[in-house]
Amino acid sequence: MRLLSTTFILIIFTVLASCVTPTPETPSEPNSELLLSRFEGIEKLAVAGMSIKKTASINDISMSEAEGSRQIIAAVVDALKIGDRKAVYSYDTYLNAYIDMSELTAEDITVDKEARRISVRLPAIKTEFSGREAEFHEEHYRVTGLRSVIGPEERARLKEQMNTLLKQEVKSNPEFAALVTEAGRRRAESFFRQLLASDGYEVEVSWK
Amino acid sequence: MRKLYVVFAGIVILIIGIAGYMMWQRWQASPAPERVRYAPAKISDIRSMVELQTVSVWQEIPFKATIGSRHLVGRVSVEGTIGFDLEKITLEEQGDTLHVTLPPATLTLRESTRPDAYVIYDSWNDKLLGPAVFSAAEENLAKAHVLESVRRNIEKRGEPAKARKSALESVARLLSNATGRPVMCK
Repeated sequence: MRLLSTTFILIIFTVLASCVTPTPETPSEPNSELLLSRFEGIEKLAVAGMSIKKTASINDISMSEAEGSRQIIAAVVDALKIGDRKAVYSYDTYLNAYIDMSELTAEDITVDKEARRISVRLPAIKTEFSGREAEFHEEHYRVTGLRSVIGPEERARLKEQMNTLLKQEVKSNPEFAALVTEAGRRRAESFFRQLLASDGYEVEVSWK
Repeated sequence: MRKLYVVFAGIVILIIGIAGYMMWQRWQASPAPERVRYAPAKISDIRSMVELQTVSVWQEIPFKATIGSRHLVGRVSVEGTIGFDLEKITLEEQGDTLHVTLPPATLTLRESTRPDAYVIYDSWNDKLLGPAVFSAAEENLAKAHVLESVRRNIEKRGEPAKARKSALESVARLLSNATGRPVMCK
């Protein structure tokens, strides 16, 4: 009797232990934005922009693609549903390369009258996201039979997820920033040479 | 004999419990079903420009769209800048003075890339049996109206004029430092 009750208690503990999920670490909170509206004075010279397209598709899980028990069961459930539910959405996000002109001081521009040369030392180019398309392009939509339509709430959640993934991809792949920075650098150098060249002065552009 | 049955039953229950626990762990570890597939981000365009941006804008706007008896309520965060295309400035020399004319301001407004920049709270139909859902095209049109309304408000506030004043000071300072000449901007 004692052995049975001990065994029973052990089983109960085992089952309860598997039900307890570890408390997830609280992610660090971003700075909270307390304002509903903000107009801020800035001094940025945007020298290049990049459009980055993100595409996502909605479709049932096929048996051939299913991996693991959960996906297999989901694929079986999808196969039993009446109708298809397929859609493809895309939108562009913009990445800008800019020079913070507030970092350009009078000491960064030197004029050598004897050599007839103007030297400009520009602040390093930085990159930042400058918004995304408000329009959510529906490249394809086919919902038939008894399947539920894809509505605004689902599209909003999808766009949010696409936004998160895109930002992670851009952050983890330095090539995005490198390409737009290089395009910006070339444009900035040619612009300042054109702008400041006068009276036979040569313009030399360098970077901090 | 009875004791033997009890022990045997206990062992069977224990084995079933352990097997159930292991199956549950395998279930949890198996990949979750995902009906959305995300393609890698691709660059669609790179363009160079020279735009002096002197005001940044950020607004969070609740909106309600109505088409017939269907309604949609949500919130969109908008970000943008007021800038001036410096490739279109004109430079004139009058004596020792440089006269610079800036082009008209460009107000660029887009949906923000911050988290939860676009949220839908509710969509419904006043008719009992009618469809409640807005199509993607209808939703895009509603958002375009919101952005247009934000644009009109910003212009009404006189923000482009303030931005122009800052840009004129910035360009005058740059040219004055580089050329050593007096600069008049308009």
